[in-house]
Amino acid sequence: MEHAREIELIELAARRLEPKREKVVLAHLEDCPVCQTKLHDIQRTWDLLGAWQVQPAAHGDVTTLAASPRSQNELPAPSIIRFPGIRMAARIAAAIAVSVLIGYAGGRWSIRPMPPSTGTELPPYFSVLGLEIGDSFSSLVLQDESPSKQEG
Amino acid sequence: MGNELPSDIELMARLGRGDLAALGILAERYQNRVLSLSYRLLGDWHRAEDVSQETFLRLRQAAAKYEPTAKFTTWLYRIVHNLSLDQQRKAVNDPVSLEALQADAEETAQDSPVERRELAEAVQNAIKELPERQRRVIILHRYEGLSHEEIGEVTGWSKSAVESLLVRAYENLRKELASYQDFSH
Repeated sequence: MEHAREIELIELAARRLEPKREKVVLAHLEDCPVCQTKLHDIQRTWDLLGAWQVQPAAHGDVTTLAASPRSQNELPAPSIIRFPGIRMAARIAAAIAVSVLIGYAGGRWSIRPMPPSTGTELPPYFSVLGLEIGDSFSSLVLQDESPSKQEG
Repeated sequence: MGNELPSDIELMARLGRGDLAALGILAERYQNRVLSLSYRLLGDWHRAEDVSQETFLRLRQAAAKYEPTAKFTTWLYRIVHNLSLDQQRKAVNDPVSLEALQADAEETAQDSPVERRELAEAVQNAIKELPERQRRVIILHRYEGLSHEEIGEVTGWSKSAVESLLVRAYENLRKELASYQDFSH
């Protein structure tokens, strides 16, 4: 009696043996304990290998390669773009933006008008021109045109 | 009839004419399979992601000259297989980062009972320990469901060589996993 080929037993375990051969091999198996044992071992190994499952959906997405508009009525919509790192990057960017805004608002709030200067003599041309000294302008006067500096 | 999904060959033709949306549909259709195959061949998600990106870029580049002489998936798997081999060669000089290993380990560990996790690791290790050619045919046969002829087209090996490798690979795995033979799923 000729035994079943091992590769055919593998295909039988995988349920991929062509129907014609399947019939022949199954008929042989009925009377052959040796091949029955072999098939049992192969089937068991096949089943054990099924324990190694992977989760590709949790990983990189390549649909961004094709993120372009197209006709609506013919093809299904392109998939949602999912880059796992994008969410984290967006969070970091948002955190930076909020920090900048808070810093900006805090900075504006902390700036106070300069107190009016006291004891500063106005340059003589101020009265001639009818000018009055302002808060911000006073500092310029103090630095550049105060009488003491001119005297020096 | 108008609602029928376009075939892979139609999509490749459209892509060849510059319709990038066709690439989006192909990517949506196959990216999980491309990633799974590449991951199983390389054992590293980061590298598998690189291979996946590169595969679809190759598709885009090749679309204009694409002629459907072989089944589209076989052609696609050949690209993935070859790119994964390139990555594997690079990996010799550029070992996997600790972060990547840690991430993979954490992923394997999540949401699975201890026994099942242990078995999954044992299977992964048993396949990893196979001689290179046996490892490749097992992955293409058991996990990607390719026929002997298709594995031959992907790898460039003869059908008889593929069958011989498959018989030896399953036999080696049976021996390697003998202690788990009573494990019930």
